Amino acid sequence: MTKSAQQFEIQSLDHFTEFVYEQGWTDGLPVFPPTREAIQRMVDYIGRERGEVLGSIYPGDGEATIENVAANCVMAGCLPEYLPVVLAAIESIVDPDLPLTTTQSTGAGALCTIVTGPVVGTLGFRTREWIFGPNGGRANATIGRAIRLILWNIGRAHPGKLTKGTMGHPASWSYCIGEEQELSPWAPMHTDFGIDAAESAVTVLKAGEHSQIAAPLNTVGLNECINILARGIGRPGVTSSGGKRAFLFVINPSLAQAFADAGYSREKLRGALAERAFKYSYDWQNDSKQGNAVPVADPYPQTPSERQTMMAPVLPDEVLVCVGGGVAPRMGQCVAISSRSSAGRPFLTKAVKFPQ
Amino acid sequence: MENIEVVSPAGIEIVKRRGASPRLADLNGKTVCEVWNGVFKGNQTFPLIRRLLKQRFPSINIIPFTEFPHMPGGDNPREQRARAQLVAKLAQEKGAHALISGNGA
Repeated sequence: MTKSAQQFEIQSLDHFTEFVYEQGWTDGLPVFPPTREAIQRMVDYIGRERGEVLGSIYPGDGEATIENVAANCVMAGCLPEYLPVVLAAIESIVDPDLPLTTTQSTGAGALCTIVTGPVVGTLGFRTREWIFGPNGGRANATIGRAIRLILWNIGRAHPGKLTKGTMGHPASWSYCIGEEQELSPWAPMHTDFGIDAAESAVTVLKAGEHSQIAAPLNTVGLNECINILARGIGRPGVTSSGGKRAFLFVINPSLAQAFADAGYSREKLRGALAERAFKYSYDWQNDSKQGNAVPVADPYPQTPSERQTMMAPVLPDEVLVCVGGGVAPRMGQCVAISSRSSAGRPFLTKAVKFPQ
Repeated sequence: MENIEVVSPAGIEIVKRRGASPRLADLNGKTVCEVWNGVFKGNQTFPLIRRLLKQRFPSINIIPFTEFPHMPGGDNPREQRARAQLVAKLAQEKGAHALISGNGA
């Protein structure tokens, strides 16, 4: 089935700026005009029907097509070569296994997109200093921005209307990284999810808290670094109730190399982090669907929680490890992102399909 | 300067939008159903809500959540639509004038 989008004729670029705000086509930041010519360049690059239906996007159930996805990519400043990456993300976004309810409800999460494999280098992702930006990288910024605009325009994720999140999320403007490959001791992260290392992939994570964790391996040693990372997640209030969760650790190449030198594969590290981590729950009733509660010692003995036994185990398949960020010899740095998910899967990974 | 032709980035409407039904002026004599999705301790809050509603509307008829199948719809996104249709059918069969479908934060 194919469908086409509405077209408008605008007098000038100045008029376009005002028109965009009047139409509600932007979340607040300025955008580029989605001209027919620019969209056609995208469509020509991907070689698919512009009206091809990709699925519907929550919460407004607007239908995504190649054409309206391309329009949002143009508005974000994407190059045509970025479209396959955006489409891989859309494949997850329209997948019922990744219900977006919890990114738009009370807790107000964001979608974090992690691009892995050869396409990271091909498209020029900035994967080192200030990996989470802003870092001047067009791929990072505009692919993340396109995904936000797609949620806004196609999914109608408008706060106060269909989106009831209380706080919002500052990363929501653009939340996309590429995994460092050249300095990583391991294969791309997507190999953990059954995709071949030679392929490229996109992981979409329903993200909540984003925290920086310093893991000073030069002073405390690698074993203690595992404790520091593991205890950086699952604090009361951060991962509250409900369902399967995910914890993404983006560790800098220095720390990744230290783990690899000590014999840690990515799989072994995921297991070690899970073994020492825990997640607090304010409502065990919600969590019981993923297993029995495992009481653990309260991590804050001087200010104990009244619910200190309401702790759930973290499972190795809930831990993701990605390499990225600047080199800092003998100093580990990490960003830990906790999922905001109470329904379905907290993340999905899809292979990038390039034009033939 | 030439005009610019732009293409709408909006999603294509596939859902027919309808306004919410008007609120009932009075719940006395009306049948109200409870539906629980299994979380946020609805088994504790629904009895409280039920008692308060009966205090305020003495002739209200409340059909408790136990009369409906357990509806942890959020766990089963692929089944949500079918479950919603089942709830609607059951509510109609029970003569519902209104239905409490949410219990959470």
